Formats: sequence, C-alpha cells, structure tokens
Amino acid sequence: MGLFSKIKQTFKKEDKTILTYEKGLSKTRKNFVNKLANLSKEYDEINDNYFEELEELLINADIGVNTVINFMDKLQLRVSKEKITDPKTLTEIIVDELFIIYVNEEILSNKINYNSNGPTVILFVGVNGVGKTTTIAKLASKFKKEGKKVLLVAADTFRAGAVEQLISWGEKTGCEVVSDLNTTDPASVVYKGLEKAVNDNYDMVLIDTAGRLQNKINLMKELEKINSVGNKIIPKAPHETFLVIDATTGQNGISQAKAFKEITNLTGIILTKLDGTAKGGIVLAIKDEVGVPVRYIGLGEKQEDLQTFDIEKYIYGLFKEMM
Amino acid sequence: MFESLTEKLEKAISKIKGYGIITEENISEAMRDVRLALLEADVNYKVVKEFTNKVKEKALGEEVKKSLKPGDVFLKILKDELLSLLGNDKAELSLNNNPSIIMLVGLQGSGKTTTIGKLGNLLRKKKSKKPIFIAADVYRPAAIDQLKTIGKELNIEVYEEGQADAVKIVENGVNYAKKNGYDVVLIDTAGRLHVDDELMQELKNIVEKVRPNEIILVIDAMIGQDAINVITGFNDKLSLTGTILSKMDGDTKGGVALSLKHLTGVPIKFIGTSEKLDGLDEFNPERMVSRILGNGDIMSIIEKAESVIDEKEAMSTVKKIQSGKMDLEDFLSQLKQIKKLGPLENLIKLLPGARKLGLNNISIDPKEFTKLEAIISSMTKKERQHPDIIKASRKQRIASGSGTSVQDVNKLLTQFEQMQKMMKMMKNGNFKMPF
Ligand SMILES: Nc1nc2c(ncn2[C@@H]2O[C@H](COP(=O)(O)OP(=O)(O)OP(=O)(O)O)[C@@H](O)[C@H]2O)c(=O)[nH]1
Ligand SMILES: Nc1nc2c(ncn2[C@@H]2O[C@H](COP(=O)(O)OP(=O)(O)OP(=O)(O)O)[C@@H](O)[C@H]2O)c(=O)[nH]1
Ligand SMILES: [Mg+2]
Ligand SMILES: [Mg+2]
Repeated sequence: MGLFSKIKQTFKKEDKTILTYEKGLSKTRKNFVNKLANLSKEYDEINDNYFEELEELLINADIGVNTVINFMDKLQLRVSKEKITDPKTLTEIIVDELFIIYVNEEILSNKINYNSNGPTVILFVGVNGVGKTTTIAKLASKFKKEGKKVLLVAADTFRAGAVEQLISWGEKTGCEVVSDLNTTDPASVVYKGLEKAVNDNYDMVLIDTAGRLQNKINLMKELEKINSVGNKIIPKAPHETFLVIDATTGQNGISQAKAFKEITNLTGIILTKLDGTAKGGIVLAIKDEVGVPVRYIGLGEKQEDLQTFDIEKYIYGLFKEMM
Repeated sequence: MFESLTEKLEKAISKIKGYGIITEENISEAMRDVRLALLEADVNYKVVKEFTNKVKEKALGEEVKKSLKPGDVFLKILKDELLSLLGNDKAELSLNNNPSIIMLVGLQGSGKTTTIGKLGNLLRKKKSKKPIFIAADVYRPAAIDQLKTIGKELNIEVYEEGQADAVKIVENGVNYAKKNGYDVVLIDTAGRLHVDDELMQELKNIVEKVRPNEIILVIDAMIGQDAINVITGFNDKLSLTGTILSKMDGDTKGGVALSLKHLTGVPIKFIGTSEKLDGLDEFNPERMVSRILGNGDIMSIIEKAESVIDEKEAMSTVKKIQSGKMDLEDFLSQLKQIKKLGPLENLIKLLPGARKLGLNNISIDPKEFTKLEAIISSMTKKERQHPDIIKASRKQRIASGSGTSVQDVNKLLTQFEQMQKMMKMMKNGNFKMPF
C-alpha cells in the first residue's frame, strides 16, 4: 500500500485539523522523496553497500537497534520478493515503511485533551536535565498567547535552584507560580497548586517535577504519589502527562518510556534539543515498542522554541545529511 | 529485558566448543551477537565495526586454532580488546598550579553545575584543597542561584557578578581567588551546543584569558550516537583535557565510554553516580567492561538495595563485608532485608562472579526464606557467630528445633559459605563500594 492511501486510511474519519495536517504532510513528503531519490542516484543498483549505508544512517540517528534490524530485514525481504533493483523505487518504500512503523494504523491527533469542566492539568516527567522546566515555560507561553490563564506548579522540591528557575520563567512568561521553599514533599505543592487553580479559575495548570532516573525505585514511588494527587481535586487530572526526552538520548530512551509509562498515564513525548546535531531517532522505537507518540519538539532555549511534532518532516530530517 | 551479551556469547561459545574449532562461520555468528549488544549499549557505529572486525581477525588467527579451548580464548580476546579500547592509564587531575583552574563545559543539562559541586567537595576532602566556584553561566534562568545553593550547602564560596559578561567574570574571579588564597578555581559555564559558534567562541575567549589547567567535558552517560559529534565538536575547538560521564547511576550501559577514549584519546576522569554532592567516583575501565558485557554490576545491586533497605543496617553490613567479618547473625538480618527486594534470583544474577560460583542458577522461593529464618533462629548465639562449630550433633538439634532436616541445615551452611567466598571476592576484587 502506498503512503498516500495509508495516510488517507489513517486519517479518514478525522476532523479538519487533521486534514490540514495531511496537507502539510504531503507537501513535505514530495520534497523528501525527491531528495531521497537524489541520494539513490549515487547507487546504480541496490547492493550490500547500499543497505549498509542505510543501516548506518538509521543507527546513527539513534533509532532503536531492534527497530532498525527488523526494518532492514523487512526491507531486504521486500526487495528480493518484489525483485526491486532500482534504488528509486526503494526510496519510496523506505519512506513508506518508516512512516508505517510510526503511525501503526492509529489515529494520531496532536490536540491537547482539554478538560471541559475546570482547569486542564498537564504533568511533566522525565530523567534529569532533559528540559522539563524549560518546556513548561515554552508551553505556558503558547497557552498564554491563546488567551488562557496559566498556572505553573513548582513540584521539584529537590534540585538546587529548581524553584527559582521556574519562578524566573513565570516572570518572563507572565504566569503565576505556586511554590513552597519550605517543603520537601512535592505532592503537597501539587495539592496547593490544584486548589488554587480551581479557586481562581485557571484554564491550564503545568506541573514541573524533579528529574528522576527511571531505575530509582523510591523516586518513582514519589512520582506515583504526585500523580495520584490530581484526581483528588480535579476529576481525571492530570489530563495529559508528557515525558520529556532529550534528543541526544540513545537506547536508554526505551527504558525511560517503559518505566514512566508504568507509573503514570503517559499521553505523549516531548523531544527537546533538536536544534543540535542529534536526531532523537529513539522516539521511533518508543512509538514502535512502547506506543507513546511525540507531541512537541524543542528547538532551543527560548520560550518560542517549540513546535508541534510532524512525523513526515521528522523522517525527512533523518535523511537530511544523506541528500 | 535484553539477554546480556554474556549470555548471548556463552551460547555462541558453547557452539564453538561443540565444534572444537573456530571457523569463519561460527565466529561470524558470535560476532553478530557482539555487534548487536554493543550497538544496544550505544557504542559508536564505526567503533563497533572496527572492533568486531579486529576480534574476528584475531579469533581466526593461528594461536587460537592451536588452542585446546578456543571458546575461552575467544572470550579473552573479546575482553582484552574491550579493555584496550578503554585504555588503562590512570587519569589524574592536574592540580599543581596555584591556583589550579578547572573549567567544565558541555551540552545543556549534562550535569556541569552539579559536578562543580561534587568536584569542590571531593578536592577539599581528599586533596585538602581550598576551592572557590565561579558562576559563569549568565544565560540560564536561576543558574547562578543553583550554584549558590550548592556553594552554601558545601560552605564553599561562589564568585559571581550576576548576568554580566562571562569572560570578564572569569577573569575577575580568578584574580579574586589569587588574592584570597584559594588554590583551586572551578568554573561553571553555561550549557551550549558544539555547533553554536558564538557561544563556543565565548569559551575560547575564557581559555585565552585564564589558561585553565583542565578543560573537562561533562557528558550524560545516556547519550547515543550523537556523542561523537559532541565530543569532537568540543575537542576540536577547546582541546579537552578530560571528560566526566554523569548519571552513571542510571540503567544505561554507557557505551559512550568505549567510543570516547578510542576516537578522541581524551581520558575519562570521573563518573557521576548520584544527584548528591558526594556522587563522584573515579573511572574504572574494568567495571565499565563488566557493565557493557552485562556480567555483574555491583553498583546496580547496591543502588537497588539502597532504595529499599534500611540505610544504617546496610552500612553496618557493608562494613562487616569489607572486613570479612560477616556471621550468620548478619546473614539473618540480611535475609529479612533481602526479602523486601523482591525476586532474589534477579539480584544474585547481577553479582559479579555469580555465574562462576554456580549461583546464577539458584532459585529461592519465599518458603525457602522462611525455612532459612527458622533454621538460624534455632541456633545459639555462639553458633551464629562461629558457624564452623556446627557439627553433626548440633546440626541434629537445630534441624529438629526448626522443624527441618539435617540436609536443610547443611544446605544453608554451604550457601553461607558461598556467600562468604563472594564477599571475599568483592573485597579483593576491583569492586569499590560506593560508601
Ligand atoms: N538547545 C536546547 N536546549 C534546551 C532545550 N530545552 C531545554 N534546554 C536546556 O537544557 C538545560 C536543562 O533544561 P531544564 O529545563 O532545566 O531541564 P529539566 O529537565 O527541568 O532538568 P532537571 O529539573 O534538573 O531534571 C537548560 O540549559 C535548558 O536551557 C532545547 O530544546 N534546545
Ligand atoms: N542521577 C544523577 N543525576 C545527575 C548527575 N549529575 C547531574 N545530575 C542531575 O542532572 C540534572 C542537570 O544537572 P545540572 O548540573 O543542572 O546540569 P548542567 O549541565 O549544569 O545544566 P545547564 O547549566 O542547564 O546546561 C540535575 O537534575 C542534576 O541533579 C548524576 O551523576 N546522577
Ligand atoms: Mg527542572
Ligand atoms: Mg548549569
């Protein structure tokens, strides 16, 4: 099945936002396929070198090793079965297959799951230093621009200067911050924040948590507690839980996604630091193996350096250097 | 979980043993597994390729062919080659100047500021230095607050001028340090991308002005294939003197360590092992090889234990282990603690040397635990402290007292003996306890 029919099938029953998304996709797609075709000109025929270069490209982008191996097997099988000898045809298939790995027959919407009945609560989780606090500032600024009343909750009660960092972002984005420098119990800060959000009619509540490595049992227990506070004050809160992942992350990203998904109801990944040279390909494996889609990408250290994730643009980016 | 490389290898090697010779074919099969495991550990793609070719070549060499145990020789080649990738030379900090200037650089969020705190703490404690911190991250919100909080916790002075010019701050800070008798200056710089020319120039300007003795790149151990771009990016522009791998307390394999030394020659000086200010260890190549091969990582056991076990009790046990004075009394309290850790088999498998001692196949069900507890409870205090006095008649008494058999008592005593052996191995081996 071709990419277009696949996209159409996937997005068939969806609303207008997704139709615009589809348009965006097909535009970048054309571009992408053309360029990948150029690359293919380097090769007159599909041979072992071609596959090796392709594999190196995918591994270097940090796409999960298992995902890549399976992908290469599938590709080679198709090539021999369909007797494909022309690299141009293969190009089309590569795009197709990568896209399919990510989309996997699902309907993917990038819309925030708003709470129609009170504040919408978003919890941010992740390992140390990935960009949770900065991403909160970026999303706060985005929501603010949309005219929403945004509250930030400083529930990182552990790291030196973490509360001050969020307060400083609160000033820059013009958002109120709930914090308590005298407590080491993050759940109590969340409690306080959610109460305030309800009483003062906030639209959005963004909760910053301390960085934690997923193999630390006690810290994961703490997160479990933070997570369970929401529902006590605002039904179904948190409405979204975003796992922030640094684009430089290697294979460990899979273990991160698995562990945080076990403790919280992960609804998306935010892939930060894509402005560097890292490709963040591990998100393809995470979608493939753990089933959590990417929602936003971070492209710098400033408030405005945030974009909605677009899978096709992203796949194109993976091959940029080869083209 | 992934099969560890060791397990994969053992399968491959047992095949080699089966054939009795190393052939191109069975080596290729083994190398496929090695390759996968290394890629899964985030070792650089090119390094993996080079490495597997080299091992393969050596394994097919004359010497191996003549050997009676090609499987073992193969494993040894593999380990030696891994170790040679990591290098064996000890990389000490250069601290001979007065003051010695150490600058930490790196990507955003890699762990620079925290590591500044750890280094200050370590140099003061172990080298009797008088350190000062310079706050030269003038960009990130609350970066200075963070360093000041750390300085306050350690009671180490922080030189700062707010959001002024980073180069000037460092210059002034070094002069201030000289005047006030500080002998180590630790410079905290802002996180930056290696491709950000403007910010990389700022670092070059600092280097030109104060000529640091050490320019150390702090790298997150979870980094993937981009590591090579980052390392060469920083190294080309700044001529690094070393690196520190942070966040090694995670469950990442840290394959970056293998690529680093090999591709750039820059030594790894320390590893970060916690968020706390004492979480800095010297880099140990053997332990790194063990970690990547998957055969025994004492750290992960201890960390797991730390999060569940009562700290005081664990500490006293560790002291006893270190002094080799563990008795059955401690064993009993250990058992009680260990019960909280969940399936014991998983834990034991992690122990270095467990496989050799045959402990990897031990399976202990919870009922067994209760039995062990009952047996030890039926011993006298003296027997617990000196298990070697437990001979036939005592065994009989203990068995009937605990409602078990003499065989059960024997089994426990053997297990305890094995455990002691393991303790000795840990004590004499290369495994440094992180306490
Ligand atoms: N280049 C770049 N830097 C980023 C991006 N997002 C965050 N950063 C930087 O990454 C560093 C860490 O960001 P934080 O927001 O403090 O990360 P965190 O996850 O909250 O960290 P902890 O709370 O310590 O676990 C900071 O220097 C940020 O400026 C991004 O998209 N691109
Ligand atoms: N578990 C663990 N966490 C660490 C380690 N080193 C640093 N961290 C954490 O990693 C996060 C980032 O550390 P920082 O010291 O702020 O990193 P940085 O490089 O100064 O960050 P920027 O200044 O924003 O570029 C914090 O949450 C630290 O607590 C380590 O060895 N282990
Ligand atoms: Mg933070
Ligand atoms: Mg810092």
